[in-house]
Amino acid sequence: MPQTLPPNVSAAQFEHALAGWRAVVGDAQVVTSDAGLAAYLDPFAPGERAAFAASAALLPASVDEIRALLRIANRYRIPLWTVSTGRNFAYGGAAPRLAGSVVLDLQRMNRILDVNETLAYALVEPGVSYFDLYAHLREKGYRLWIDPPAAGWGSVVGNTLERGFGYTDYGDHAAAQCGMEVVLANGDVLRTGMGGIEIGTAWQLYQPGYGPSFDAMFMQSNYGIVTKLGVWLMPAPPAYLLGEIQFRHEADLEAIVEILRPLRLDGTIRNHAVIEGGLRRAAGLSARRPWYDGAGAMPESALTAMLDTLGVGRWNLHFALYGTPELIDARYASIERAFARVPEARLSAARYAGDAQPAGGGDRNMAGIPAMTAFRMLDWRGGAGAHVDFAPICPATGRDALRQYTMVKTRAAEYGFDYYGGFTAGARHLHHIFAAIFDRDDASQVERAGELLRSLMSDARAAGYGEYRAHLAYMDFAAAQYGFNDGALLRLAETIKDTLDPNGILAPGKQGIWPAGWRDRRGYT
Amino acid sequence: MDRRTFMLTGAWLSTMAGGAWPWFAQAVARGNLGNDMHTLAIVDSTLVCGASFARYAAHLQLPVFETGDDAGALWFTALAPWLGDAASRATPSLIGFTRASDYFVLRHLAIRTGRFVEHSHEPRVGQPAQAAYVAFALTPRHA
Repeated sequence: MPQTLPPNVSAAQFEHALAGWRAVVGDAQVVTSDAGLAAYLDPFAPGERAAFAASAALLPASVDEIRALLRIANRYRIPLWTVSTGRNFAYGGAAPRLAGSVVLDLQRMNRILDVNETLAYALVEPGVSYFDLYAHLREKGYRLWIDPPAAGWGSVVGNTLERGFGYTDYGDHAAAQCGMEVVLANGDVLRTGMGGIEIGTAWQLYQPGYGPSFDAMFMQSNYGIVTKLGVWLMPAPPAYLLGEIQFRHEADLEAIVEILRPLRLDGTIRNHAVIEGGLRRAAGLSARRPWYDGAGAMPESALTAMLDTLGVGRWNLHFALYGTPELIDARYASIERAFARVPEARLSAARYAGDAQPAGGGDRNMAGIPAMTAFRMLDWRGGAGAHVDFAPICPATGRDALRQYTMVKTRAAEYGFDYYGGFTAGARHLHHIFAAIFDRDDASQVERAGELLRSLMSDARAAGYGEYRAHLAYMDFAAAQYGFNDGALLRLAETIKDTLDPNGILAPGKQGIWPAGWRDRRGYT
Repeated sequence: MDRRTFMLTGAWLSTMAGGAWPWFAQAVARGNLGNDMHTLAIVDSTLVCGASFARYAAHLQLPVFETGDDAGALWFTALAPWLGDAASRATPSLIGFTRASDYFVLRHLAIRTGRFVEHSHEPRVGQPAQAAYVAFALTPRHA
């Protein structure tokens, strides 16, 4: 018997439920041991890990098994927390929001069901990682690229449902999604959009379908279990260019954003360009200790010395151009002219044939190749590295970017953290991602990281900004900030929740959406 | 003591610069199948003592995998296929000497397969100009 029980469930009831689940998926696919459940704790929790401990984990292999598991969960009113592969690190990993929930781990559902080279799409199950899909495309010789996020071990389905992003022209993963299969809490199975036609031919081709479109409703939500998902893939380009512009001054951020925005809006730059802070770039090349080993944020003098020695800009703009060499040259010339007006900006570019592979994780991501080099950030502070991320949306204006940067850097320094961050550029907005890197074996650092995140969220809200994603510990806080008309948005979300899932078994608390039976568990942590 | 016993008791490793991890030998023993060595070694040879560890693994005739600059890529392109091919056989032990970040990635990937448990790990800080590193051993779950 596991130590943690689902809330409001007796040990005897839980034993009955476990027995039922074992009959469905087999003993080996029901995890209850402490050692097994340790894999479902959040290693980066900015606080007590047990606050988000699971009571068990179930690993089904099919939709039919999911439906059978749901019947038992409904009978005993046991909450299930669905993960695709459980690698949502910095936002909670595989851990559930409500302690005692049972993790529904879909990693065994790992089939690539379809790849269509002509129409450039794939249909995958939740257990398929970006590495898996990339390997499949290469092995079969498809002339298609994936768009990996920074951590390529993540699930294609999971990352898309969390509205993750990558770095090619297909970097907006939610926008490149087309068609889902979803199991609702009552076991009903639906297919969205054109998938509603059983013998349909356009499930992965036309997003809306007929009538209301529901796909977005199943992103960052707890309304259903997505078991299949279509993603559009980028036709392999004949050539590509990876560009970097280094900027020397902190205040250059304003000019960078002002120059970049029109280039994004008119399509000169179509990929998710990244304005990377100097320290984040440097952390991929070195640890912190050689430059500064004291307490508190790295002083300006040490930061400058590090950047100069490593040949890194204070800001570093990374962009990519894909297409024929002629088109690439024309677009590159425009970019060169546009940024030439920033004093001391240094532009460099490398041109590649379409099938060539660059070195270095960031560059490989822009070439549609998954990587895990981003995790080298864990070595920055030393010890057992961890991070928790603050992810506000920033309007794509220089003024807003500089304002957010200054707010975050100042507040981070107050709590003893370096500004490790950057901006990933959509056309009209920027994803501002700041990571508070801490040693998870140092209780003081863990506590300060947690406090810093709360302060940053309050600061951002006071200035009119909101987060696009939040760690388990802050999901309620983030949701409450979207408070127009006394929280009308959250009221709608919970009305839908109660209708679709009256027993409240699917991911209670996900993104601040609590079913009626668990609403007293909301906590603005 | 013959050469094989010498290796497995860690006596040879204890002569390495950087100290000894006798549990390496225990992990290797847990990965053994009969007379076959059934352990994979993972190393970042750019680390201090990394080269020594690689030599230790080579002396034991273990397959040695370099992390390179991307431990995740190593897993998905080399280790996972190796483990997949070996699915009909017993799970091997994994012993390693890597950066802390690479250890985190490899440990997570291995544990989530359900086939491994962590046997031991030991972080070391090193000199300021040197990367911190971790010596670790992951052994078969039911060993």
